[in-house]
Amino acid sequence: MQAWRRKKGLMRAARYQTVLEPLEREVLGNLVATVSEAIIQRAQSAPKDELAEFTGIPSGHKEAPQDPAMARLLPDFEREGDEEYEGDNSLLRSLHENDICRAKLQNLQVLAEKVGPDGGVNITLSEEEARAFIAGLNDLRLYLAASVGAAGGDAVEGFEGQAPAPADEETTALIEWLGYNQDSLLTAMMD
Amino acid sequence: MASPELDEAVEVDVATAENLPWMCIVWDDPVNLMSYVTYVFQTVLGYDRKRATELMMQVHTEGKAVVSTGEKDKVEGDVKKLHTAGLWATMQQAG
Repeated sequence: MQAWRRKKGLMRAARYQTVLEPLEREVLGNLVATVSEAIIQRAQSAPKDELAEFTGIPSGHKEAPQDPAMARLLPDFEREGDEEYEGDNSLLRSLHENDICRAKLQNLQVLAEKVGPDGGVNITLSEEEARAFIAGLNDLRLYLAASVGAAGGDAVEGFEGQAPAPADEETTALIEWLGYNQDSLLTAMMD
Repeated sequence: MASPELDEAVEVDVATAENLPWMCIVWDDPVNLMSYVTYVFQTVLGYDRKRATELMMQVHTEGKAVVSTGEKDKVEGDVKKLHTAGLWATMQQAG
């Protein structure tokens, strides 16, 4: 891919542009679809509780995801072992997880529109789209890294789900490429 | 006039757990780029570039940093925004 460039006209707001290789577009589009699907599944599997339906206050999962990749996208609000952890942590998760899932899906939707089946290799982003794009790329990196056990787990304990798969060269290269893409766009935005 | 002993008693009372502010802590992780973490501290928490960079370096070198403090609702909102951005944040009561 080409590095992201900032295009600033006199009469309009800044735009950010790059050109992807066709294979890059395809791989990125597929990954966006995979991660979006995983988040949708998580959100749809949230328990329906009677009080939530009665009061209209949304309630999400109370427990962290078993899948290490999803657990990294949706971490605990409180650290295990803290005084308030029991009860409070699961309450905070159930209050906020659905909103967080929705925001992540909205970010990924911008990527899907740009690089999905209806998108192309020439990408142009507005400032607002660029913010969503950067956050979406970050979730893709986190998801992949956690799925191959490269995301670390010792800083915060509590990953008691499935063991991650070992890292392969292809995934490692993809994580690095997503990082290059993200850093390049960040550089263009922060200049 | 209140005696010194009474003043002390009042202070102890004020410092009950309910009144302690909360802290939002960001933990180091090996995936998030340093440039991205700085960008998030600027755009989500509203710090200038210098302060955002200092906090990012503290997370990187010390393994964690307190990035905001305040009432529980405010800190809870910060954790939520940081999770949305993909940072590893938790909240805990000070003290």
